[in-house]
Amino acid sequence: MLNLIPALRIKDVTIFDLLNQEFYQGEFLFFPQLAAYLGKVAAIPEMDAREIGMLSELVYLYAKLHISLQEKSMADEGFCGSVQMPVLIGDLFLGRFYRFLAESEKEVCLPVYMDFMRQMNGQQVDGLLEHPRTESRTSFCPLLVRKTAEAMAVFAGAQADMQQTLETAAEQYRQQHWDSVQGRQVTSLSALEECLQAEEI
Amino acid sequence: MLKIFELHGIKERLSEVEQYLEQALDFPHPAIRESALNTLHAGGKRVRPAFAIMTASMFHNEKNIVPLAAALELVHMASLIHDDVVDQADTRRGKPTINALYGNRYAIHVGDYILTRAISIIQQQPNSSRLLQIMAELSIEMSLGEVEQLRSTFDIHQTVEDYNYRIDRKTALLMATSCQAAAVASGATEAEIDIFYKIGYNLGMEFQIRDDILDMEQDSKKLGKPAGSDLAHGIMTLPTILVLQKEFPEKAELIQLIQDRFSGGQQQVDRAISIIIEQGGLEDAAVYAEGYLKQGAVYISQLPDFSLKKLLLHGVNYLRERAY
Repeated sequence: MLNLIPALRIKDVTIFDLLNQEFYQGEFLFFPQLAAYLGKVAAIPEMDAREIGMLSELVYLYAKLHISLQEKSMADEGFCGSVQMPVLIGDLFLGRFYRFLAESEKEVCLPVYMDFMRQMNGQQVDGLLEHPRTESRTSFCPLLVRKTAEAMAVFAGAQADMQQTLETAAEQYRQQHWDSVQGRQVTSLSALEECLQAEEI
Repeated sequence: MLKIFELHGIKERLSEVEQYLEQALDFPHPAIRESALNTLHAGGKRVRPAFAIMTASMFHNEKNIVPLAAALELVHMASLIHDDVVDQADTRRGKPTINALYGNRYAIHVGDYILTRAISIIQQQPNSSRLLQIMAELSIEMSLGEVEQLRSTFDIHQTVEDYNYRIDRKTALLMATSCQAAAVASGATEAEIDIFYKIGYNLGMEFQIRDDILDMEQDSKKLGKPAGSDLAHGIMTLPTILVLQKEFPEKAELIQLIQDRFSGGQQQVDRAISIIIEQGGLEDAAVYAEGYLKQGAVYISQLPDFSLKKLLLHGVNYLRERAY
């Protein structure tokens, strides 16, 4: 099993205790499973594919938390769980992404993820400028799926045609599986641990 | 600019860092560029780049260190933008914060965008793999420190160790990392890297304790934010923690004010500050700050001779005397 569970612990508590946030089982499974699938397409070692899946998962969690922020004031109930903690824990996931990138020796993929972050943050700012008072948020999932395929291609040293194949395969996978992500809600680390073990992630 | 940074050789490099920062923040995205440049132009002490330059000077690498020094400042800038959302600060350095102008979400994305730029710069430096690891650890520890700070607001039972855990991660580590990263990028030995890390750490601890003292003793105009703003937000800094360890007639009143979360407004914050000052909280905290400063000087003295060493030792005194 890859090291996702420790990444969700913060000293003596877990992210589920600190955030007013809904998490779904599929959210923790999607990127590792996507990476495992793409790894087979790209014929790269399974562990490397899983590690890229883990990188995308950490980036997903970071982006999800920062995009989910509410515009509340300090006086509002839930400011801590809806604004303050998502900022800090999102930053924490980003730090853990960088650490895992270095540990797994996947630095070659860094520019791909950097590009995701630039585009994603730029898109969110554009969305806020266009609709400053709405709660709508631009979906970043298709972009991260594409970047996961690109990271895989870069790691494999693939040519442009293979990268195109991977991106197409990734997008098809997203269309088939992303809608089912919001299935079972996860509210504790032990429940998530069980489900990740069952899926051998 | 702090006087210490007007020392020979540092000021000139800091000007180069400033120019580099201007270019680095010239983003293609116009709204993000404007917010980032406004934050840059609001000023700042540029302590972290200065530490990096001082470190690199021992290896005659000041010129090459400019991009890394700028990246360290960008990491700091991004973390301040996020801090302002977390603290719901309306002003910083006397100017409106990004979150006050455009909202929390906007500010967070701008901070993230700036951080991405910092990492891109770091990736282009010598020993980038090691630097990336150092920055990853820093980023994790800074977030953990902030989470702990949030979890411990208005907790009157905090100890000096709890405080050290927080400020260590809030400030000292970035200072330590600035020295460490500059030493790594300059090809220093492991022993040299270690000494520079310790210098940065000790001076960083001193810097934050001094900041916490100034937060209580200076007026809002000088600070660029309301006086006692940490206490008002429930952040127990060293002067408060040390005073709460004493026994004195107004202790119950001080505890009550904190536990009521200053529901009566700034007047109650002012009253709490006056009790802390009367009980010698600022002087007691200054003793701790002095201890870190002296320890930092001990580590500086362990360095081999280089052109800035004497000036650096002398310059440590400037940190003690800073007034903002």
